[in-house]
Amino acid sequence: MSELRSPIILGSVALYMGLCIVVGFWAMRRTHSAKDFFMAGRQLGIMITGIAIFSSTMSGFGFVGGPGLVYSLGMSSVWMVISVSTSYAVADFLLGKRLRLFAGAFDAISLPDAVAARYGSEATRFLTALAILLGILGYLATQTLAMATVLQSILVGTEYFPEVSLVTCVVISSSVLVFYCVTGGILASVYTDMFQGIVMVVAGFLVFLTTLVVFEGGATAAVATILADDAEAAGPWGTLGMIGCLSWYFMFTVGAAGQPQILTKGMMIARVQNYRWVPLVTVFGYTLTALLWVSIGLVMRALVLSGAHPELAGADAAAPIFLQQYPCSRDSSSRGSSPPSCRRRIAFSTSAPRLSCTTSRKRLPDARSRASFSGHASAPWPSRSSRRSLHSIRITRTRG
Amino acid sequence: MRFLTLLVGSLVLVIVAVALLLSTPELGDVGGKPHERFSTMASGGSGSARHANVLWLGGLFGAAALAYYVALMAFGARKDASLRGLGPPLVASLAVALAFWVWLLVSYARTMDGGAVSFFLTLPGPSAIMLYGLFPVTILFNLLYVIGYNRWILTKDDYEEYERVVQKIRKKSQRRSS
Repeated sequence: MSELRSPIILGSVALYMGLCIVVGFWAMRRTHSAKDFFMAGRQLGIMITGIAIFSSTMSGFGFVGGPGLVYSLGMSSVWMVISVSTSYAVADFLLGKRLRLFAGAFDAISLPDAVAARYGSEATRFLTALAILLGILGYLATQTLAMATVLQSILVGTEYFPEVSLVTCVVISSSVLVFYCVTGGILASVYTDMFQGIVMVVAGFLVFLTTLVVFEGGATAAVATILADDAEAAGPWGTLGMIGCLSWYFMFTVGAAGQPQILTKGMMIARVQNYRWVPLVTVFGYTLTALLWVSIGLVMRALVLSGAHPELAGADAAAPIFLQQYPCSRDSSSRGSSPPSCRRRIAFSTSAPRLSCTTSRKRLPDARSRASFSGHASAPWPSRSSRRSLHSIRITRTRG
Repeated sequence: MRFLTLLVGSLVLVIVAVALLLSTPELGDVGGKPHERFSTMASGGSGSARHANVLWLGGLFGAAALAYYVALMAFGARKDASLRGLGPPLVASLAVALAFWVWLLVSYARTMDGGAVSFFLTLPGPSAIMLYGLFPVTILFNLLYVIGYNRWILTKDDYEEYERVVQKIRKKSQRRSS
């Protein structure tokens, strides 16, 4: 079966990218206006909104960088997982429903639109767009690098592309990404997010089960190996230390609660009453995918410490290497020759998070393009009295 | 108003804790050090050497941060939400989170000198408290949102009033365009 390894991996990647392109075409046929392009027609259901939100949060950073951080720093980065879960609650209580109400009332098709409607000011629109643009550039670069790194890792593992460069992988993955972003707009993005999110949940759970048995003696033995080498790495603060972890906890909770690609998705749900169920889907999905984040990092660190695996070239290789080299079975002798079903899972699970976050971010500073998009006429800015009325519904209504 | 007090108070506590932490001299390898054998890994070193003088200040920072998040959630709910029953569950959730937080600190303090570590579901005690105790509490906050949405976030009256405002805005928009 080992001769099928490369074709199966390549086939899975091609199938995945093909599906993304098909979704792009499908979404293009359903996109008729700026509202469709930027807000998916504001017709999303509970499941798709929830899944799109958590898959945008998890992203390449979570699936590639997360295990790398656990491998490198021990338990430190688990605080990021905890902070994201907290930030969902903070964002929903503070902003979720409110932004959706403003989006519905004023036909806002972006976060800057909603802010401008709230304050009745072009300056706030410009400042919000500028803040998003500045804040997202670095993150977008990281996501682009993450998807190229994973693609390179997958392709190099096959016999057909042993020396494919990172730049080539950036071009390939970005081409697919840009194609379905441009053709299908946010509709393509959220549906690919949903597809990727489902893959991430399934893969996260299956990979977690694999990590429980891949180390000789089980997961407890793996953690004991880390503990024996460095007690702090297996402790609650990891190697980064308590203050570093708490700084992350504070910064990521407040920061993630304001991430525009998440807030914008909340504005797309069809009925504001349905927003109630979104956090349930989001947190459930995120928790399942976070299993991969924590488990791979710990097991890879233990494998390297115990000498069962050579040291990685870089911490970010932890997830790709684990997924490609460690089979579904416990038998370490079969490493690198995992069964086809397992290899499909490997290819899919590493492909899925590559695009999920980047697509959202590609479209973020859309307020700038809004003005030039013909056919969209949002409601005029509300009068001061209307704003007060909406505001009173949203925040301070105390009557009856 | 009480939640606003909690919001401001917890933020002040966060600032005070951070200021005190910044003025505390660093001991040992506070942020870790390179691993002796593997260049791609970091090492924590001695827990007591780097945390002895910041553990309880860090504890204050963490507790204040938790209170701050809960206050933000309360601040985001309807103004009369506390009268509609938001207060007790939110405060109870915060109390549970703080209980796990203190348990985590005490448990870590006992083991940071190299004391015996017990395992729970594959993780050492303090890490298990973090992952199996503190993390689920954050999920509880999300569940509170789901459970109390119709009472604390968007009531039927709110929605009806919203619909009226939207109609008003649309009529105004139509008048302008015609």
